[in-house]
Amino acid sequence: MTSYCSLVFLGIFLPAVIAVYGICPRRLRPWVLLGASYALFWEMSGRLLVFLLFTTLSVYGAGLGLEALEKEEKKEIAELRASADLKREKRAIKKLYRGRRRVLLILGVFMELGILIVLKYSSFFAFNLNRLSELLGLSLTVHVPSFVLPIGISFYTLQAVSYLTDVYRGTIRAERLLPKLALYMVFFPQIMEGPICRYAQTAGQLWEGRPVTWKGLTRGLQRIGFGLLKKMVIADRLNPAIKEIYGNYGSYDGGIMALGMVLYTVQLYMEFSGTMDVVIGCGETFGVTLPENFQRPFLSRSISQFWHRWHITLGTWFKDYIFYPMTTSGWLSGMARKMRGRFGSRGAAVLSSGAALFAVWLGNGLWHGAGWNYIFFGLYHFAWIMFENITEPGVRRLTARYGIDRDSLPYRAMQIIRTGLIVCVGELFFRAEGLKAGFAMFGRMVAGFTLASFKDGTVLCLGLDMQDFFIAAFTLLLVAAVHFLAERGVDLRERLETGTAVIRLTACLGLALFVIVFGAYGANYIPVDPIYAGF
Amino acid sequence: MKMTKKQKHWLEAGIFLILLAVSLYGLSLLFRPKNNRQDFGMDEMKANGILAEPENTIDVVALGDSECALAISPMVMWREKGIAAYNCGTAGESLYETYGYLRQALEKQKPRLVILETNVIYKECKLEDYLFAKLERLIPALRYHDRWKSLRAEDLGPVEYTWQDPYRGYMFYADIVPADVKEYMFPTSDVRYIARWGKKSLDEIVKLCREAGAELILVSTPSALNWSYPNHNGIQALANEYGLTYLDMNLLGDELGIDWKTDTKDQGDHMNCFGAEKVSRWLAGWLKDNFDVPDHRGEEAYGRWDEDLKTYEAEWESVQS
Repeated sequence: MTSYCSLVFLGIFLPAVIAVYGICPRRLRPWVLLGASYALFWEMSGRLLVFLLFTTLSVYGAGLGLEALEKEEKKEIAELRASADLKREKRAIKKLYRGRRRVLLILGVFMELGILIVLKYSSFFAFNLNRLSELLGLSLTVHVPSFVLPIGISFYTLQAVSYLTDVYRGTIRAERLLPKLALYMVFFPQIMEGPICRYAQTAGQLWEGRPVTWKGLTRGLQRIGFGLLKKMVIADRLNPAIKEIYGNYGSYDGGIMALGMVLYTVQLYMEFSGTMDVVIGCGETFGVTLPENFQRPFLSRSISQFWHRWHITLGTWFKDYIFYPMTTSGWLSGMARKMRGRFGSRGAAVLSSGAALFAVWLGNGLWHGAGWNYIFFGLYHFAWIMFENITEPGVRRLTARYGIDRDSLPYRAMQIIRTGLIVCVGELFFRAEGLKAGFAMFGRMVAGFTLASFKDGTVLCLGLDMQDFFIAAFTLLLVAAVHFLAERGVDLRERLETGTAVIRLTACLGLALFVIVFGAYGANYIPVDPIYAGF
Repeated sequence: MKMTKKQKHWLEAGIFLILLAVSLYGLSLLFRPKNNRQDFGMDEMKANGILAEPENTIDVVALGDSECALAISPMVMWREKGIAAYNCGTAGESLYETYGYLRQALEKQKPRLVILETNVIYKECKLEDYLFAKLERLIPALRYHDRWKSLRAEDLGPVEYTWQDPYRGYMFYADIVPADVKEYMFPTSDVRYIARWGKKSLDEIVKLCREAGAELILVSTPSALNWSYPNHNGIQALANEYGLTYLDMNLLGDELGIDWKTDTKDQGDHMNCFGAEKVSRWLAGWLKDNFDVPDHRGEEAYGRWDEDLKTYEAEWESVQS
């Protein structure tokens, strides 16, 4: 089982878990989810389950340790006797325990991230170190074995870090019930591709053992169906052309490069958001509301806005656990104060937040994979966000001076198209087989742009025929229509629920048959691998 | 009587499932190729040529992947011993597909022997694919769903298979890409085991042959690239387990006389027509000597086979020169 869209998962595993979960008494239901989650993890990663167990146990222990320190601190303060130095003594105790808690937090976070770094990045770092030493003529060679990654390590590690940090910050209490924490870490619909949940968001719901209801089941299945539509009809159908273009970019002109760039952006969005629909739909069948990961990102008017709407749980994780701690840290605040005299208060704010943003986007790029193209991808978005931040006041002044309404439809459309293009270029580098290939493709696209391949029929020799392009485009329009309605606050599933049975049955049957007939599956197709599961 | 909410939900779910089943049945009727020709949407035309063979005329059905399709030539077997065989091998086939071809062959034919070329037994066989193949057989709309691209008026008519392959499924290749091989079957006690879901498919194939009264024979055709002694040992163990006859042609040496410089199309992976000629001739003799396979030469019902043999020989002669 390698995908949530597989027959084994959707046709056997999920129905079996729902059935067992549904017939079990409430107190046993979380255990059913926990058992099923570990079974799925074992099926996909075998003995690498030990890494997940270690992470779970270590954050559990560290969380309890943090809480114990907090209790000790309170106890010591309570035992203080009234004296002239009471305030000073209190401060000293608080400082002592804050330091201890911080040490424990850092140890915990480093332990979790350490596993991720060693397994995922050590061979990348060693490779680059060896290249550097070769360039410098040194005889240093670092040998690092290449590790097999447990499924979802990039996702559950971030969940572990967020749990520990939230306990440290006092946002949540440390969990005493180990299975509850374990279920939060491993809940099977989200283990492969997220969303990256916070403990306060899902742990309670999961442990409640909510009943399987008609509403949850139908809404969940409808959402799964919509996800399959995106994944199987669009993302999987586009796969042959994307593989061909990115694998043999040297054989095609700039027009085909541009096509490959757009097709991959569409594929990535349809694959990832489609899988998220399946994941969130699975959660709904158990009465669990998982956080949304997408909010119509291609309607964004700027890159900053795009990242508030694309892979939302990753963006908020970086914001809460990297950006805010950095911008509020003593050294960055001090630096901002020093820069204020030289660059003015706005310049100092932009620069200090820029330093934090740099760390965020470097982390974001690296999180996606150990490769220079991913690092470039992160820094590319960092550069655009900084550019937007710096130029925003000037743009405001200019539009005001020339009486341009920034909320008018043409202006918004221009912003949306511009943002879409910037994102597409970023995705070109993201998908390219290495940074060198990314630049070669980009150069070919810009310098050698021509529509010749569209006129001479080359475009239909990429593995997709006219009907493939047509059905992918038609389905994309359907998805876009649903998104536009959602943007306007129309919940189609709610409408279906309150509508007549005839409408409901027609819509559900139509969706199922559409996916069955127009889905790209079976002997003639190679579906795209779950893209984000590889991260 | 007024229905409760729960009853309404069950009713709605039931209606949905019934409508889905009816729709899929209708789509299956529509999408199913109405002829066994490629322009009618039929894939693997050569293997599916068996659908147009007259009823109960095939005595030997060969199954397997490309090793089978390129090594066993029914026309040579006809020429040598008058054996009416059909080769249903297809490239890249897996055992769950082999089971499907066998079921299909048994719909109109009552073969006495079923030859299973063993390379297919070691093909990757995942639960996902095994289940999907079963589902495709149950709901042909899943297999032929892509036919929305090529529907035409004939698709509303009845099914009539008319295309007969003059080579009876055999894939004729004259290319020669020699292999630098002297010996590749080094005796060992190592055993290569079969994957779990492949074993399940094999169980089903064995069962189906028994039910149809056909004797299943395991045959390994020569392949210097794919075959080895651990493979042989694994298949021998399976043959013992099921009580089947096993013939490994990789061990025949000079008796078969495969020359890896001239008889392979791709460096020892597959046989070319020269290798297939040797394999099929030897196999025909072995089948005749060891099994009760009739010689149909001269029979009126098999007149077409002699015509088709001429086509085969014409191509054979053209590549000889």
